[in-house]
Amino acid sequence: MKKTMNNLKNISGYVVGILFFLSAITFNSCDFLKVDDYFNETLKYDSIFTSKRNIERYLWSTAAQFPDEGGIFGNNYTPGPMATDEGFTLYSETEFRGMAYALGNVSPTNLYNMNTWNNMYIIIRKANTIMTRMNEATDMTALDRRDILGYALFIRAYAYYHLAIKYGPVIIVGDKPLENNEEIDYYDRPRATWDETVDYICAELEKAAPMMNRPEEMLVSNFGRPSSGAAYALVARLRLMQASPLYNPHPNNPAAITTFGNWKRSTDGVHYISQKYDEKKWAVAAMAAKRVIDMGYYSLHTVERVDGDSPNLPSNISNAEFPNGAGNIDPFRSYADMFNGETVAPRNREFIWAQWSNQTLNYSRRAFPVHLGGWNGLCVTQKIIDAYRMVDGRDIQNSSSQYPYITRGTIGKEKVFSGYDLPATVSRMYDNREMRFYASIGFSNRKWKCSSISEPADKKNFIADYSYGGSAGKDKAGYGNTTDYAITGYVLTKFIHPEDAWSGTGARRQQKSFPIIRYAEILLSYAEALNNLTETHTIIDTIANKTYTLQREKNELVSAFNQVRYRAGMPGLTDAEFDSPETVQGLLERERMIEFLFENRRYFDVRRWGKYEESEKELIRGLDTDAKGNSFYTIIPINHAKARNRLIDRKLVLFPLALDEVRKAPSLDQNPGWQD
Amino acid sequence: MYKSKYFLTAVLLFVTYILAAQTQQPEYTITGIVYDEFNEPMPSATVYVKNTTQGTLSDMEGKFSIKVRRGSTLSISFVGYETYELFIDKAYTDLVVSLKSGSQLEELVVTGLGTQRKISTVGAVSTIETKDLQVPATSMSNILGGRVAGIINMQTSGEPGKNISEFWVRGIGTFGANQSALVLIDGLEGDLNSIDPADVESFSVLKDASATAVYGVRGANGVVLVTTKRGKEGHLRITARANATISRLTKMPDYVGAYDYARLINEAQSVRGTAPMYSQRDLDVIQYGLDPDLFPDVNWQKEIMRDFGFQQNYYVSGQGGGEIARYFVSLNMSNENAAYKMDEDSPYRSGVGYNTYRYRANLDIKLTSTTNMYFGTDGYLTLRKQPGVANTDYIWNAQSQLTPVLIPLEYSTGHIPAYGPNDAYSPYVMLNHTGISSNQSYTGKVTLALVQDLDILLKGLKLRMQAAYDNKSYFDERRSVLPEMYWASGRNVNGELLLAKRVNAETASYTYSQRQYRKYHFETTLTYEKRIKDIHRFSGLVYYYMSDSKDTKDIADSGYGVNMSMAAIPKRYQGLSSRLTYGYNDTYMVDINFGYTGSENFQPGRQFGFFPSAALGWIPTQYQWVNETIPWLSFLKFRGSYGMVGSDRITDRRFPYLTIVNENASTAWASGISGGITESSVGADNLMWEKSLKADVGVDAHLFRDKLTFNIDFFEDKRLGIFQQRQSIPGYVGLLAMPYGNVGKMRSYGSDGNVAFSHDFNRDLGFTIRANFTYSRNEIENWEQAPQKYPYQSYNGYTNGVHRGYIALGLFKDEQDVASSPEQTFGGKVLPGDIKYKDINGDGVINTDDRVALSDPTYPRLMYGFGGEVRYKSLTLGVLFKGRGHTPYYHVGQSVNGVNNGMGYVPFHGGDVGNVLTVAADPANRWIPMDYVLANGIDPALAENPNARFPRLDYGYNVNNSQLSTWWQGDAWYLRLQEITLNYHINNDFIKKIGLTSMDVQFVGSNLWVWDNVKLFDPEQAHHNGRSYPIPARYSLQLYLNF
Repeated sequence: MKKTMNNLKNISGYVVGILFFLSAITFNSCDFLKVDDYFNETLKYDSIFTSKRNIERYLWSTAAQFPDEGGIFGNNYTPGPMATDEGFTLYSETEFRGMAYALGNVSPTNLYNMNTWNNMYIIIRKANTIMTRMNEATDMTALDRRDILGYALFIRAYAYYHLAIKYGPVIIVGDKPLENNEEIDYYDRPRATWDETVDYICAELEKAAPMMNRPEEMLVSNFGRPSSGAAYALVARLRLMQASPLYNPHPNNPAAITTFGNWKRSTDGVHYISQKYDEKKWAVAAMAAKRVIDMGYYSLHTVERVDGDSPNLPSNISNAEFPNGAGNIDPFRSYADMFNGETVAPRNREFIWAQWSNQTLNYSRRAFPVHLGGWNGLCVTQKIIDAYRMVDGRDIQNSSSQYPYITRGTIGKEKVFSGYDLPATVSRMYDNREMRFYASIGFSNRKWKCSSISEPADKKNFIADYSYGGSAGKDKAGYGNTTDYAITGYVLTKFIHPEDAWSGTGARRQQKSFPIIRYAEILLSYAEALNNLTETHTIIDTIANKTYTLQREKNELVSAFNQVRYRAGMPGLTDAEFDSPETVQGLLERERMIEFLFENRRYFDVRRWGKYEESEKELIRGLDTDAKGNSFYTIIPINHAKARNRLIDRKLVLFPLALDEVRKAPSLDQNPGWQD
Repeated sequence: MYKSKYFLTAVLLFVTYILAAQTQQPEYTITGIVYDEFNEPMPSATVYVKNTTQGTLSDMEGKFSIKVRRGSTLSISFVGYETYELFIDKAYTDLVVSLKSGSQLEELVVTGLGTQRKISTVGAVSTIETKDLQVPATSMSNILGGRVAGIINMQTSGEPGKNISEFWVRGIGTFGANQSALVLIDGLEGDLNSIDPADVESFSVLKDASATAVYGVRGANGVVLVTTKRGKEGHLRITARANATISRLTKMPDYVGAYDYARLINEAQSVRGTAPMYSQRDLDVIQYGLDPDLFPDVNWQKEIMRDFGFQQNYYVSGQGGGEIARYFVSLNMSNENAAYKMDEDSPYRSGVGYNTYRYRANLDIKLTSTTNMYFGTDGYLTLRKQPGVANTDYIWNAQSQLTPVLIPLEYSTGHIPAYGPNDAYSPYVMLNHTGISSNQSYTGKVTLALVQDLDILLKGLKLRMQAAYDNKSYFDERRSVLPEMYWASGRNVNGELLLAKRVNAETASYTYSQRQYRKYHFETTLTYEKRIKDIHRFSGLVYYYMSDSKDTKDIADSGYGVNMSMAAIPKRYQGLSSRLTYGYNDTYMVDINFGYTGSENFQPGRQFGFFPSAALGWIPTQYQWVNETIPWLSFLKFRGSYGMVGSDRITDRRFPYLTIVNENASTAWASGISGGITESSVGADNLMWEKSLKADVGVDAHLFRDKLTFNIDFFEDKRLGIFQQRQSIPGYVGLLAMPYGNVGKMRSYGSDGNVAFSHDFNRDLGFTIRANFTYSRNEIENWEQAPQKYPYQSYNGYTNGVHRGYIALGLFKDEQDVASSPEQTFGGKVLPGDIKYKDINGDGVINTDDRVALSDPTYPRLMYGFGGEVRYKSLTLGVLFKGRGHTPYYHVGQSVNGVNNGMGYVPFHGGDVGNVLTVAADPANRWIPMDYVLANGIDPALAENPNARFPRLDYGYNVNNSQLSTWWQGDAWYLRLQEITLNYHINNDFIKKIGLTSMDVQFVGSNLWVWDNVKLFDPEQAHHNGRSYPIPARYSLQLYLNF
């Protein structure tokens, strides 16, 4: 009995031991699956929103998701100049995607990497995340919150803006980030109409603007950050777009009806684009532009005249001080220095919003002659060349005897003005042209100074001759690089500084900024909006609680328009011209074409004017690069498949949505004309 | 060879030592008679000495006579009867043994976490008698198909080291990350191929929810349970086995020689409007072998392959022990050579082969009267040798690619040739002149368990604790060399070869890589059994486990930064499961199981999943009236189960619920802020397990005094929440990347079963016939895809892995036919004799939108086996057939090893690379234009044959004809004479005199014949088009020695 008891005791002890051991293991293993410790030291998603600094890091990295707006040449996010009548190139369409767009290669199944739809909605989601979660941070003052909220709102609106101008009506996803793992029923929603889209974006920008830095508060070191002025300026741009014929069918220009007459929202049959003309939209556009003008901060960029260097003004141009004339300014430098890097961009009050742009800099190399380490193929069309006026403001077809347009012979004697040399060998076609022509166009026998380099000598002051056999002719394209020549006879020099060089000892380049929106545009937009008014409109700016009365008032219109003219050394608008709104519209359209060359305005302008087909169906013209000597200067349609096979189709007015996206969402309608 | 000699010597020494140590006990002759419960004499009862293979059968009068040593236990048994045992302490004569019926009630079967009485098992469990596994196969997984109901396997290579089958329990049930079954060896996850069949004590396949639920999240794809032998009380018993196998390559692809090849090139070029490559003069040179340098005629197969491969395998195990400690120890080694023909003199000859070495030691120690300790360790070492090109697939590719006429083995000048734009070289060079590479892997496990009887607390309560460590290491190394190689472009005026050097010699270079894996495992099982008056039987079981594993491969594959640091976090599992059973009078049974298991890979709070299941069983034959009404029905059981199991191995991605943050993103618009923060991946919300809802009904029956047994199961498995990357979330949601989610759904269903009939005519003659089958189909119910244009492009509603392609309407008859048919937009000019496809969507164009689901994938849906054995005295003859049902495959366009096939079947698929099968040389098999036929003296009756096997030839890849289409579809069903075994059991005095208990001599032939439709290649590899090592026929001589 005792033995059994002992046994029992022993065994009990043993059992207790085992149970103890077991419970120890089990106790220790409650946290067995908790492996968080391993990544506690890494930043967790939720920690982003707990401090001001991390929210800022998140905010500004969200801003970094926007494309470089100067990325309009190659590897471009938007069709850009190469998809219009201003630019042309032989380079591969996979890089110069605007060409692919113009050639009709872009389709909903192949957007040539220009599909920014998803990326913009990623930005919108991030902005929504910030706005939803920023209150989790405990170290923020009310002012900090206002700053972050203002920029988050702007970022979101700017993303919608990107979508709207490219794709048209957007899907407005609201203020909360959508759940990330739901079924399609949860996500499915239709696009807003165009008016809903623009009204929403403008309202958001107007909401953001008061919370953003005012332009005068902007630090030079924060160059690239939009100010409240940028927000208002984007509103002005969008409102003008909204009022324009493509989106607002004018009785004389019913583009909105011809283009979008059959385009209705499949969910409720509503027209995406309003089919009824509303003049008030022009008044709203005018108000939006006027509001920027009234900020009183912005002005056109001018450089003071230097006697003996600056060219003398033709007698028909007002000698008064700018802005009433061009008497005290150097029109060449006033325009050129903005783009080539000479003027310190952060201090340029014409740049309502601009950013440093590596794309602009890198693609300026494409215009350099092969001999200077460039690729010689970023071309401008003859149409643009012919649109530049003579120095006295007359058309080339209607030149004066004092400044005649002559197509044969060379100027014979070197001309120097505003630090710009016109070599003696330059064709007389290029003599006596307005200053913006010289600032923007690389024509045959232009001098490429490359003044930053010390040697070799033959790479300084290089005279690029684009004729066959010339120093930068088709035959100099280099072995295997048959595309490296200026097929139109012109390249773009707008963003090239005289110092800029890509090869040679000491070669360097000025940093480039790309103007996202300039004051000149606000002025011309104001003039255009006013020009379209037939009645007086009263518009209340609810944000500033200010009332604007808008009508086609001569002083207002002419002074806005003339500022841009005078800055370029051009004559102002005549009374006769003013009296005809159609004439004024024509002049404005041509002015924008010249003033904003390769600033990615023309793609949108020709569309909103309802003139996309009209302007695109003209053949791409240029000089005869297969010809030597004088024959080179024969203006011919470009003899290349990429020029001949351009697709003129109304569907190209709006960029297509990816087919994949349209198929995912039952209520998402494709843009008209594209496969869905 | 040296190694194996040493090994043999060691084994012999060991055996001699053991024999010497053994003391001889006196031997008695025991005689007796066996009766059944009705006092009828019982023939064919098994009479044997326990723990030996020594035994006999009772004769027609139930009489037996057997010699037994003193101290042994005599065991007399018959299926369906309780076993009678007698300890032999004296010479019993005229024993009268009455066997009691119903011994089946106590028969055990290994199920999840323990054993259950077979009668009360209500889950779907397949078992196989371990003696059926004792065949000299190259690996365990190769033996299962056709032997075990519920298992489908597929072997796609016969090369040593690669000849290991894939297998699935009840087919493929998910398209998720993990489709394979959980294999547990003595409770630990392991590789089925790492155990020698002779070590296996029991082998079970758990198929339904009831059987697998205790494994919770690991059990969805079925569980294979293997237990290994353990020590048994008694003197040392030794089993030694040696076998030698000769394997012979059958089913090698049959390629044309140089002359036919050249003529076919000429045809391929002529019929496409290209000038033929060979002039009549060239053809003559080739035909008569006049210039073996420039126009050779090499049969590369003969140059690189021997007819035979050789394998030898040795095994020895010892088993024994006393009251306190028992042991089981085994050693095994195998050496298998591939049938590659290699130069024996090169220091860098590769000697392609596969060697394996295994050991196992199981030790059971009785610590106290209620405590047992189990210790086990086993190791598995594999060594695979390959040539320096490191992958013998290249050799097979080269064998099918290198044409007879391109280069000789060596130029007559002694230079080694290279060819082609990429300086490719011949399989002969690959085998003999590129150096050596080897892959070595070692798996070692140690496990320690304690079992404590807790009768003291509650009678029938038992606690078992087990801890284990599993370690795998891999070491791959490669010594590569290259000889100088040349290309002969022609001959100079003197007739000498113009040789240009193509490849520079490379001296030996060395590279290696290594990988480590380790796992800790701990588990505890608490079991309880209670029996009340033999009517109520309760049992309960609680199982807890945790494991932690880490693999350097995960880390190496993860990239860098945060991903790497996450990949290095060990994978952990933790779970608690339980089984409760109740049986009433062995007539009604209920099992309730659940698993509650967790993984660290899920969000805290969602780490655990609950997986319940239940099963019911009813045995009507327990009623007297049933027995009386249907006397021939000795046993009948109905089973049914339903439940949920899970699969946690849903992805290789670690912590998919986490949103990963990049802290070094770029910023814009701001000064002074560097290091922007952005998400770099999107965490998946609501992440869950993959779930499997399994239903199973089954019947087990024994008829005619258990002579005929059968069982059949029907099952359905619904997978929910299969983990996949979302495809259908619109871009405007603004996600950086598509998140992962549990969105996939799939259903599989089928049946499996087996039947056996056994009859003994007398004590000398008996036979058994067996058959089994497994049938499984599946259907995807939801596979999230980017939206498709046409409904037939959806994966939903189709079998997983369905082959998609074009419907071939035949060959274009003439130009008119081409012109009037929808445009085929693959590129190249379509001519008469090319394949014409069906315009599914009617848009007048044949493009990818016209691809439809054509057939099920190339793994079997029906697999069956049948066979049997005849016993006559000491001779046993066994036969096994194995087969699979309709299994579609494609010669062209099907993805094989990630590459679309076609090469090896379509003539000139790869232009100047690619051999041509002899079937293509028969003009009746090709579509040949009439004008070519007439111009080349071919029988005009064969021209433009619309039913030709091959379309109009093309020299080079023909994009129109190379699409996956019904044109190239075949059916790889087969019936294989898998095995013939002749076993001679020797148990005579002479054997005993030399110290043996018994000896078995076995001859095994496997893969002896195949009936199929593929003909050209082995049907199991049909889609490889002869570009892999065929499954050889094997002839083995096997010797078993029992001491």
